[in-house]
Order: sequence, then structure tokens, then C-alpha cells
Amino acid sequence: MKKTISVNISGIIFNIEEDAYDRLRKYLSTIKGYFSNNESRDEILDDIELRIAELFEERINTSKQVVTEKDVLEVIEIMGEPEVYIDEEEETASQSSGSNSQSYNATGKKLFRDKENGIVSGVCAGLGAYFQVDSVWIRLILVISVFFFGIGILPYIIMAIIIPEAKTTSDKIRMHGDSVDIDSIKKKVNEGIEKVKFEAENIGKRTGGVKNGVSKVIDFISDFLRLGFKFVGYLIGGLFIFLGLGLLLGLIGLVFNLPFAKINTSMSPISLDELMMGIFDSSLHSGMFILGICLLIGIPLLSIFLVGLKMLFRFEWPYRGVGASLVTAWIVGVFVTIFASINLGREYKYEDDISSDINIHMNSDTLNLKLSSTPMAGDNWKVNDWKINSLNINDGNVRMGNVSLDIVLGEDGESASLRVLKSARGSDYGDVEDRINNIELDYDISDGVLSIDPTYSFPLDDKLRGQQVKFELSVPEGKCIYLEDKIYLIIDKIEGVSRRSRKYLKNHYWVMDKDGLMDAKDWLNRQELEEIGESTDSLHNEM
Amino acid sequence: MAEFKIDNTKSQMRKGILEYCILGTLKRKKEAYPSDIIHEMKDAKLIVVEGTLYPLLTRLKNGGLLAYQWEESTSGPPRKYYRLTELGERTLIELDSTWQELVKSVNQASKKTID
Repeated sequence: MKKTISVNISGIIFNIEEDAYDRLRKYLSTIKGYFSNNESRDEILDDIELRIAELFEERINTSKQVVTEKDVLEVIEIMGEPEVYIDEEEETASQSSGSNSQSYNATGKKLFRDKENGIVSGVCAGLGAYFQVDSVWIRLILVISVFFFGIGILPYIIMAIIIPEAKTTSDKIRMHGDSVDIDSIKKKVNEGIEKVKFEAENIGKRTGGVKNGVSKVIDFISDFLRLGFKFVGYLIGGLFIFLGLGLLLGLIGLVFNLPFAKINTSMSPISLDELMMGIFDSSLHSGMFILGICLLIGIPLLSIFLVGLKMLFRFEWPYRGVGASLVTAWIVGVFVTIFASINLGREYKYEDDISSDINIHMNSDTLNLKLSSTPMAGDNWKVNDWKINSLNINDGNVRMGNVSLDIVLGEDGESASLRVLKSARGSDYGDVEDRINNIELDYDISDGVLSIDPTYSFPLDDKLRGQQVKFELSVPEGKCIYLEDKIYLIIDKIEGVSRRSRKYLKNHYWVMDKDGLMDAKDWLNRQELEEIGESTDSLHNEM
Repeated sequence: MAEFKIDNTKSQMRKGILEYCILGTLKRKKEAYPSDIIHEMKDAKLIVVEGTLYPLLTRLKNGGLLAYQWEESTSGPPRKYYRLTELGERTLIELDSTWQELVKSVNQASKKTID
């Protein structure tokens, strides 16, 4: 069963199968495109349609009432591929240009691959022909770009695939187009104006209107706008090419671990491979995820690049269904990514923590807090004013720098207490517990000094499953702490002090009060005032 | 490196005389519609596909060498019947003599090369 469409060709109604119709329409519009600069276009097309109608007529009868794709193909074979029309047309243009100054040149330059003069696939030679430069220069640029991490290879491959090869003579003529000199530019501009005029005239004729001054002005404006749009189009096209290609290269660099592409977020440079090993359980899942992401991101980027190419150069797709296959591949990418993500999500399903409490006897009234080692920026750690937030992978170990420390008001007593909390996620509780036990951290309490290592580590085999280390220091009321230099980097919550003022905690004495930490000086002042108050009170009592 | 392509030369030669032959055919047949002319040209192996002819006919007509009139057809759409104009006849005579000269020149040239 096939859907048929009813079409009117030269006043005769034909029932034509849908695919046959598509074929025919494409054929006619291609011819139309070839004649776009010819003043007799409509007439020639009418003649061609007339003949096609005649040929169809011969092919249908009472038992066969529908025009099939086979019929259309036969007719195209009789009429000839669109290129045969252009050959003649070019001759027309070149012949009449001598006698007739109002000729329309049909040689619109197009981008082709020039395999005859090319070395590999003719991309460079074709570009050279398009830009009117010796292809040696294009090749030189390509070769140089290959030495920069092979950047030139990708666009070369894409162009070799999507740019059609110049096969017919007309292709070869179109590949070179007109030589660019002042005359030809002038000619082009004149042609453009004439063409617009001619089209406007035609519209006038068709609508039965009279061409007048107003329409001339409109012609000029529309021509001007068209030129403007064209320029903007080229600009956008160029931008698209750079954008699409640049991001695509970045993506490929990441996937293939090329030196110019490393994830450099808040971490030291880590290759995607290492990161994936740290996240995914099996290389199958990480492979799927990478593939999915590549399709998900890469296809839009490739499309941007292709659109840019199409905007900048005139060429025809050598294949049908480029768009459809890109969309299909993208959808596959979506599903693969979703699948891999759901699998990954399971790995994070359960969360648990294990804590231990240590009493710190406060011999003196002050407890010193400090970092046992201070990671320095540039030393594979990223340290800013607020945080140490780093991830390093070394010798099968992951070392993270996001230890956090909370300081809270403790119960009454003479000693402070330190709670060490380790947490992780996993696909089941046993799994989680193993991970927690594998977390290695370091701290030390001696002589009124608590020193904490701001980093902790665990085996890479455990994967990144939300492993975290948290310290909670409970300080009883009236006890004093001293925050040495960089310790504030790991402090998360601190009672009575807002996040913003955390920077001022540095190298300072603080006393734990009912409502949280208080500047030691303020606290002492208050104490004195209270003592004076008390003594005046007793004085009053004595009186 | 311009490589010589025999096919190119052949098709150029054919194209050059195609117009001349179309005019000749119309002179002989008085009147013809495109398909007639196409058949003649195909038989003479001057063209392979029909599409080549339409732009050519339109150009000859625009040049005032041909004129046409519509005629109803018993089967199918109406047809354009082409015939020579006076200018066309004169052009044909001119081309005739050019052709004779060409034939002579070619014979002479090739004879000389053979000698």
C-alpha cells in the first residue's frame, strides 16, 4: 500500500506515489536551481514539465493509473540528470555575453573536492579552487595544524565526508567559478541588482500590477538588505565553524586523553579516563557513559560546525538524510547516557556514617587548633580564601581535600570532645561500611594542640562514592580556643560566627560563650564588668 | 597539467553543430514539436538526453530564429510547434556555407597531416 498524491503537471492531473513525487520535485527544483540566473527559466521549466507530462501520459493506462517511482526514474533518464542542462546553459551565457550585455552568468561558485589535483581526497585542492589560492598554502596550514595536537585532522575528515567530489564537467567549472577581480565583482553586483529587478518585474507581471518608482525603491532596499543578511550570515557561519570545531576538538581531546584537554576545575588536572575510573564500577559502564555523552554533546557541536560550513560555502550534501541520521544518533546518545546514569545512580543509593568521640583534656584554658599540613595553591591543590577543594588521584589512591570542621558549644565540663565522622555511599550497607573503613585520615592531639590533616584518602578501587570526613569539636562554655593561621580553611559551621566573618577568625583567641564563640577580649571585658558589678553588689549588701 | 579528454572534445564538437542541425531539421520538416526534434537528434546521435534541448530551443526562439504556436494534441497536453522564422532561414543558409567551409578545412587539415 502506498500513498499517492494528485499533482497538476501542465494542466493534467496525475496520481503519483509519494516517493515518486519527492523524487520528481527534487529533480525539478534542482533544475530550477541551475537556471536560477536565467531569464527564460520559467519558460524552460514549463517546456520541461510539458514533456514530463507527455512522458507520464505514455506510461499510464486504464490498468495502471498511478505514476510510480520507476516511471519517474525512467523519465529522468530520458530527460537527463540536471547537470546536462547546465552545460548548455553555460554555453548560452558565454556566447550571449559578447552580444548581449544583460546576460546572466550561471556559474555560481561551489565547493567541491578536487580529487584530480588532490593528494588524499582533494579537500585542500577544492578549498584552493574555491578561494583562488594555490592549494599548497591550504595544505601547509593543514600540516602545521596537525602538529598542534592534530587539530587539523578532524575538520579534514568531516570535510572529506560531507563535501561532494567534483565529478562532472559542470562540477569542475563550478568549482572554480569566476576569477575574482574587480571586473567580476562588479559583474556580480550588477547581476544581483539585475536579478532582483527582473524578479520584481516578474512579480509585477504576475500580479498584473505596473512597475513603478516605488517598486524600484523597494527593489533597491531589498537588494541592500539581502546583501546585509548575506554578510551577517557569513559572520555567523564563521563563528559557528570556530565554535563547533573548537568544542568538538575539546571533547575529542578529553575522550582520547590528549594533553591539551584535562579537566581543570577545582582540582589538579585529571584525565577523563582517571575520573571515569574513579566513578564507574566497570569499564563497560564508563565506556557507555562516555559514548553517550559524546553523542549527546558531540552531535549538536558537529551540527553547528556543519551549519557553519553550509553558511560559508556553497555546496550540496552528497548524501541524503544527513539530518535524520544525526538526530537518530543523538537520540541513541540520550538513551545510552540515561542507561549508564541509572546504573550509576544505584551505586549511590545507600548512605551511612561511622563516628567516634575522643575526649580532649584541656589542661590549660586554651586549645590550639591548626592544620598539620597546609596544602599550597599550585602544589596540585587549589586553595582559595575559603576552602580547600581538591581531588588528586595517585598510585591507585584518591586524596581529597574537603575535610570540614564544625565548632559547637559542648556540655558543661572541663574537657572538650572531638567527634570524627566518616561517611560514604554505596549500593548496599555492607558496601558502604567497607568504604568508610577504607577512609584514611590523620589528626593529632597533644599538649593542648589539635592538629588536623585537611586531606583524607581512600583506594581508587573504592570509587568516588561520596566519601567524606567531618570533625565536630565541642567546646564547653568558658573555654578558649586559638585558631592558627590556615585552620579557617576547613571550618564549616561555627557557632555564633557568620560565614562571612570567618576570615577574621585567623590567629585569634576565642572563648565559647552560651551563644557561641566570642572574641576573647570582649569576653574578658565582660567578665571584668561583671566582677565589678558583683563587687558593687556586695558593697551594697554591706551597707 | 591539463590532461586531454577525448569525451570533452567530442561533446563540444556535437554541441557546436547541434543548433545548426536543429535549424536543418526544422527546415526539412517545416514544423515540429520538441519531441520530434529530440527523436531526430537522438537518431543522429547528437544528443543523449532530452533535457539538453529545451534551453537551446528557448534560446533560439529568444534570438528570433524560431517561432512557435500552440497546438492541441489528441493525447496529452498541448504541444509547442516550432518553425523557422525568416531570420532563422537566413541564419541556416549562412551556417550551411560555414559548415561546407569547415568540412573543407577539416579535410584539408587532416590530409596535410597525413601527408
